[in-house]
Amino acid sequence: MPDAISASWRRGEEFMGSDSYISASGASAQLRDLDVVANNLSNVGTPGYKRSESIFRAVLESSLRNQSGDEIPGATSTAFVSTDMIGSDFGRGAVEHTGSPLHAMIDGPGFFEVLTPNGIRYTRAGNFIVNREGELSTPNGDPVQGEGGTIEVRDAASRIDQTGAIVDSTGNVIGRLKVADFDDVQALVREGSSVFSAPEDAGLQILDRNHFIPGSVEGSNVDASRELATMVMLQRAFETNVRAMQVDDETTQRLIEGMR
Amino acid sequence: MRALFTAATGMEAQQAQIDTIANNIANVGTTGFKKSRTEFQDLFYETLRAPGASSDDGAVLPTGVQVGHGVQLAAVNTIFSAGDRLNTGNQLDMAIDGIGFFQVQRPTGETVYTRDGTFKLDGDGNVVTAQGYQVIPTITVPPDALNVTILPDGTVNAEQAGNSTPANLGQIQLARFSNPAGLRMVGGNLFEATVASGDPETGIPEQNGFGGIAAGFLEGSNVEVAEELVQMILAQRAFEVSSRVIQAGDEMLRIASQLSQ
Repeated sequence: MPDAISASWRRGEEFMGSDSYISASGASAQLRDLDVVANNLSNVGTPGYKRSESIFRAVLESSLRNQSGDEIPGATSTAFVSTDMIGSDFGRGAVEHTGSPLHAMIDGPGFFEVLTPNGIRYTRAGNFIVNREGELSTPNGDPVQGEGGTIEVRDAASRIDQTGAIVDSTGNVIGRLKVADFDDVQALVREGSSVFSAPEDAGLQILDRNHFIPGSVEGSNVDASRELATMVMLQRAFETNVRAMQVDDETTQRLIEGMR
Repeated sequence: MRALFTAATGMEAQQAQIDTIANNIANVGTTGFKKSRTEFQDLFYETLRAPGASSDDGAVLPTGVQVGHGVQLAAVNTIFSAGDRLNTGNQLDMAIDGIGFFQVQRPTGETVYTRDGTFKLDGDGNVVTAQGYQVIPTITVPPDALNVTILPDGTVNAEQAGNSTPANLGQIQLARFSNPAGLRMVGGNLFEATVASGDPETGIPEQNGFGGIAAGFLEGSNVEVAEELVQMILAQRAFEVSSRVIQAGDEMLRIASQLSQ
């Protein structure tokens, strides 16, 4: 069904001005937005998750033309609606105390650097463990990058302190967490598994003097009630658009009947 | 409409969370039990338009259009924080005050590891777990022993009738792992070493960072009921909101299908 709506919207570009197609473009955008809300809500308990937000835009605004094909001054046709952007809301999530000595939350901007099989990636999720190679890593086993690269944690009683230093049971500093930030965080690409990849032009910079909240992870920044409110709103908007299509259909029907 | 499937991943994840919490709460009174914690990550994204792409009129768009597919269970980790110490007064009960696991041997010969120090004697006077697995190294208490004392460094002494100096029966040794979270739970309060945990490193209590032995005490479960209940409420609500998305998606499909009537 949604594909049919998008298809009719595409056809609508050829028959611009028809009310039904305008409504269809709206309904199609609302279906897309429900996908975004569904993803946010399913990640309400995912550490370091940042909510997505749809930004709609009116498209195909163009001037009306008269029968001989000239533009009518000042007259424009109605616009269609399209999901223009899906931005990320990088607002801070709640501090979730876990008590695990290898968990840390960045108290401020920036991301942890992680070495994945696909290259360097960035995450806000500080729910670290020690992987089978004895390295500080994400729950997937991808090593976290400290100031001197991968951090080996051989001592099971090691912990991360407020400055991001990894301290073993005898008090030796065996590594220090690195925090990366970007001039343009919206350029980051979501890759799943709680990591983002950064394009070259995102403006990478390594922050110094970072502060961490030890024994805690940053919770998801999804607010369930806000998402539910959005969901109810887009549900009603969708209903209105479909109703408008029905009304348009009935009007055309009556026109045809009147011609008989 | 991927919203339905996306919301279903959310419900599955919260179901796994409830399963883990249920196991933790069920073991609130289990000696030496270590709680588990589920770790979630977002699933892959479909990139409909990459950030930095150009629009029709040549302008560079600041953000892309990426739609996520929900959530996945990344790991279930065991949390090895210490449990409360319970005074039992039993002379063979032991709690480890710090890092380390007791080593015990299964009848099949392999070594498994536990924090449960509920030791007893078998028919031959060997110190064994509640399942009858012998402690390593083997410690045998002679039948005429009047009183067994275990020192913080793991030395086991026995007073015997007619002998003023206690006899040394052996010393408890502990094992530790570079990644205890990689141990496999096999039930019966036992853990098995895996490739992920690394090889065990054995040592004497109170030396090289190993914990000391507290005789007459047991280590309780490290489950905190209040914390688990809070997690349970959160999981329940998260499950509920995902189910609401499925309802909304269903309702929207129903409305769309009325178009053709």
